[in-house]
Amino acid sequence: MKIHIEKIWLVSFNFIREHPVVLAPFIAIAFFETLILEIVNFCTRKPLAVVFAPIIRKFFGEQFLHYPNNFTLVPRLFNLGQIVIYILVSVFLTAVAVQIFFNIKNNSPIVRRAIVKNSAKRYMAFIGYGLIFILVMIIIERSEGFLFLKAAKVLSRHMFKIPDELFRVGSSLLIFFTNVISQVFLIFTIPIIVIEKKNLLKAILGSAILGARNFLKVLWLILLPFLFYVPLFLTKAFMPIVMDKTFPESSFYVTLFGILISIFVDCFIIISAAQFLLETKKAK
Amino acid sequence: MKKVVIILIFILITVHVTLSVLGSRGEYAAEKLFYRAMKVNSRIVVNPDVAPPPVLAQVENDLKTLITKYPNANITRTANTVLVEFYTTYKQYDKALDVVGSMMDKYKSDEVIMSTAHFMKGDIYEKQDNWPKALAEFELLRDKYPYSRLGIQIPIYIAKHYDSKGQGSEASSAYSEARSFYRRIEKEHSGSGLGLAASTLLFQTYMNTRNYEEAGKVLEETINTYMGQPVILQLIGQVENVFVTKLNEPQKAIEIYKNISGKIPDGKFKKVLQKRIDDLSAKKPS
Repeated sequence: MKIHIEKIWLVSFNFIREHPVVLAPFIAIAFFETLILEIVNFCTRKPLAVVFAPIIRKFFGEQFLHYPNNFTLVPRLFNLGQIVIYILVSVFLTAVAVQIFFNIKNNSPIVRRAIVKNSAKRYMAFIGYGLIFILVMIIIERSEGFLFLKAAKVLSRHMFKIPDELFRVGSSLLIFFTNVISQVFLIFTIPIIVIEKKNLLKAILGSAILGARNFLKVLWLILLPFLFYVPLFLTKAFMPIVMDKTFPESSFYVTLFGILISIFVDCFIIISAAQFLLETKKAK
Repeated sequence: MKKVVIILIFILITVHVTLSVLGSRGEYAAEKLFYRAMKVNSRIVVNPDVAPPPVLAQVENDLKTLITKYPNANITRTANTVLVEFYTTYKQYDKALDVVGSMMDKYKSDEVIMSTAHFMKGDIYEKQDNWPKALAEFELLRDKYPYSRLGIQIPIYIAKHYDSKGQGSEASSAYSEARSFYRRIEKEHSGSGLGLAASTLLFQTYMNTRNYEEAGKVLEETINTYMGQPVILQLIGQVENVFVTKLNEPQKAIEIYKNISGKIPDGKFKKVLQKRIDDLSAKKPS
């Protein structure tokens, strides 16, 4: 049986529309992330500065404690907080969303406490996956940034000087697309743990094999929804200019906007991946 | 689910509003106001003569509000200085002097602010073509705050003023005074940052009077006393200028470069120096 990506998107979209309860875990993630964003946003002001100012002074410098430089630090600090949230909360809640999806598909009842309890049994596996995922992303980002810088230097020396703006756009897009490509191999890990009840290593392996066998299909499946993040990525790459041309607080609003759209985009991607997994199983 | 979402949004709004209210006073609000004024100011300083009056009034009002509303904020010190510069740019000297006066009353014990205020006052008098009053102010700054960033520069500043006006004898006497002043400070604070500043300014007085022999001696002494990469990077161009260009003594420059090369650990820097030594050695003396 042939799998049609457009059909999976349509089914996933209709599923979310008909069962908005599946958005609940992503709303919870957005809540925790916004809370972190609020702390990051106000950490240089009283009363939070009492706790955070010495830390920021030590690791980033005195200038980041003052307006408007404090806002250049918002996205960086938020990213650090987001990593912690991702490992401890987001992966677990994504698993809860997949469990809700699976129960609805099987006409099983949605008992909130039972679903959370069931997912909590594999909490350590989710933490493990979160750690591995973050590690992979950091390695990719670092090595890619390094390679891109080297390539740009060689190009500048022998052919033409790459303008700073082009370099920023290029490196941001490169990081974005490599992230998407690496997601092709990791996206099914949580659905496999939840639906097929496999352990972490088997799930990662299963996800990698499924991604490799259906590389172009899975890439297409997740690329389109991920494209919603491109304007955000580019805005973040030019954040200092955006802040200068508009107002310093824009870094806070751009980050907040990212959190809000991730509720729908992340939910759509994981439901599409789970649907793809079910259809692949059915096709076998 | 709707109820839960509303509760979560309510919690976030409450957190945001509470933290906004708690954090919107004092230093932060002052910094925000200062940023706003500076943002507008940066647009008008590009071409101050054609700046629209309402924009000028906005900058002035923001700075005045900041000074009145947040008298104890750290940024208020800078705001005072900026307001004086603003009035000076638009030739509103009386208003500028008023602000300087209130700065002097308020920050009596702050050496940086006081030295800046004295300098700005002298500068305003100078712009009004009242050199005697300006000189009195500059001398006061030199005598009261000789070790401040501005105070230490005053002797050479006065000499340069006479030089630029073509008052040769006054300039010569002022340079002589400046040299004594810098020699004294260098002697008293040898080896410190202040000693280095005095030594560099002493070198500058000799350069300004075209006494390159003495300038060279001071330069060599300074390099030997304050040997260190940042100082060397700052002075190395002058070695080339004085010994090679002005005095035509490349051998002396080579000697200094070899001395530096033996004491600086940086390999890349040593290579650059060696290249320069080789180039100078290959050059025939003219």
